[in-house]
Amino acid sequence: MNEEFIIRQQELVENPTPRVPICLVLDVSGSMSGDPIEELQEGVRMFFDAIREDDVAQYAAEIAIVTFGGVARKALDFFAINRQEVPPMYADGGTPMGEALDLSLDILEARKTEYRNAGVDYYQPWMVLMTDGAPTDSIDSAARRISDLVKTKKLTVFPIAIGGAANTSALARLSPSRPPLRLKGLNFREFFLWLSRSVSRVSQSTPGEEVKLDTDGIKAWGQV
Amino acid sequence: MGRGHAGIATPCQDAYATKVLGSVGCVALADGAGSRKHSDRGAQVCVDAVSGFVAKQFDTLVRLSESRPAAVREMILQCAVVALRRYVRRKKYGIEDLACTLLFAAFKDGHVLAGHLGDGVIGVLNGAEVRVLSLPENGEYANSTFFVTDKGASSHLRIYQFEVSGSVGLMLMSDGTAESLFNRSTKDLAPAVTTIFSWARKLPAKELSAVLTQNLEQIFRAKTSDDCSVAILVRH
Repeated sequence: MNEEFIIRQQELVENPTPRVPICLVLDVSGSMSGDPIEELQEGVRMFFDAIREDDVAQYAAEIAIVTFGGVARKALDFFAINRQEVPPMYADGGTPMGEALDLSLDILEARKTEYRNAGVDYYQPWMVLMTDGAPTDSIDSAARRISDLVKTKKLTVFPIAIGGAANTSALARLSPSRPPLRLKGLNFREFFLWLSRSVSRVSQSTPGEEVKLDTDGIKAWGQV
Repeated sequence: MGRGHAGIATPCQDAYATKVLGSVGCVALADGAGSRKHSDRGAQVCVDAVSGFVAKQFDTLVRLSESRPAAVREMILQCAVVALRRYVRRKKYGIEDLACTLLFAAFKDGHVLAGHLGDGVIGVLNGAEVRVLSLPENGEYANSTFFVTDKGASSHLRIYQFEVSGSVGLMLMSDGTAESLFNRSTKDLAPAVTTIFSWARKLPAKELSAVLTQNLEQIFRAKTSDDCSVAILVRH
C-alpha cells in the first residue's frame, strides 16, 4: 500500500481497556485455620497469576479483597493487577459476613463512580463470596442490596460454600438468580482458574453479547 | 471482520449500504448485536431498507425533522422494523435475533440529515472543521447498547438536521473502528479522521474504498477484537 495512505499510530487514540471490577469477599474466621486458609491463599495467588497471563484480562480485571474474620476489612483495594500483591491471610475470630458484604458493595459502587469520572468504560461488577460458616451478624441489609442489584443486572454474585458446615440457606439469600455452589473439598485452585477464564470471557465481550458462564467448567470445582 | 469473530468463525456483524437517488446521497451502517444469531443479516436488511427510505423521502424527512422530530424517528424505525419483519416471515426466529444498531447520513444540496441509534460514532467535516456529530450511546456497561429491535427504541434514535455551505463530509463508524478514531474520555475524534477526509477529497471512490479497507484490516483491526467498518459521504 502507498505509504501516503497508511494511518500512522500517532494519528489514532488510545482508549483505556474497559474494566471488570471484581471483589473477593473471603471468610478468614477462626474456623478457616489450617488447610482451608492455606488453600484459599494459594487459590487467590493462582487467580492473580492467571489474570496476569491473560492478554486482555490483565488490563481489564481490577480486583479488591475484603476479608472477614473478627472484623470486616478491605485487605486489598482496586488497582492495576500487575502492581498488586496478594495480601497474606490469617484465620481468626468470628464471621461478620453482613458487614463485609456491605463494605464490598460500597467499594464496588465507589469504583464505578471513579470509572465514570475518569471516562473509563466498565462491565458489570462481580462479587465472589467464600465462607465455611454462618454469619455472626445480620446480612439483611446486604441481602436486600444484592437482590436489588442482581435483579437490575448491576451485579453478578457468586456465593461459594466451603465444607459441610457452611450455611447454604444464608448464602441462598445472597444469590437471587442461581443456587449457591459448594466447593468440592478444598478445590480453591480449580475454582479460581475457572473464575479467571470467566473474567477473560467478559473482558472480551462486545455490545449485545451475553456472556454465558462455563457451566461445564463448574463441575471441576463445585456442586449445587 | 474483527479478530474475535474470525477466531470463532462468527460472521462479520457490521453491514453498510449506499444509495444515490437524483441529487440525494445516503450511507447507512449497522452493527449486529453480539449474541444474536442472525444479527449480521439483520444489520444488512436494516441498512438496505433505511438507506433507500431516507434517500427517497429525504425532502419530507428534512421538513418534518424541525416541526415533528418524533414523527421522523418513528418513520425511520418503522421502515427498519417492517423490513426486519418481512425478512423473518418465513424463518423460524423473530426480529430480536436480527438486533442491530443504526447509523445513517444523507445530504442533498445544502441540507444534511443524519440519525444514530446505539454505539458507534458519527463525525462531520464542515468546511475546515472536523468534529463529532453523534456520540455512542451505551447502557451502563461496556458490552451494552441499544438496538432497533428494542422496545422504546425510538427514544434512543437521535436525528440531526442542518444546513451547510461548501464542502461537507460525514463519517459513520462502528464501535470497533471508533476504538481507534474516538477518544472516549475527551469525546474528541482522532487526527486520523481529518486525514481520512483529506483522502476522500482527492481519491476516486473506488481507490478510497481500497485504501480504507487496507487500513481497516491492518491498522484499526489490531486495536480491537470487534468488527471494524467505516462509511463516508463527501460532497466536494
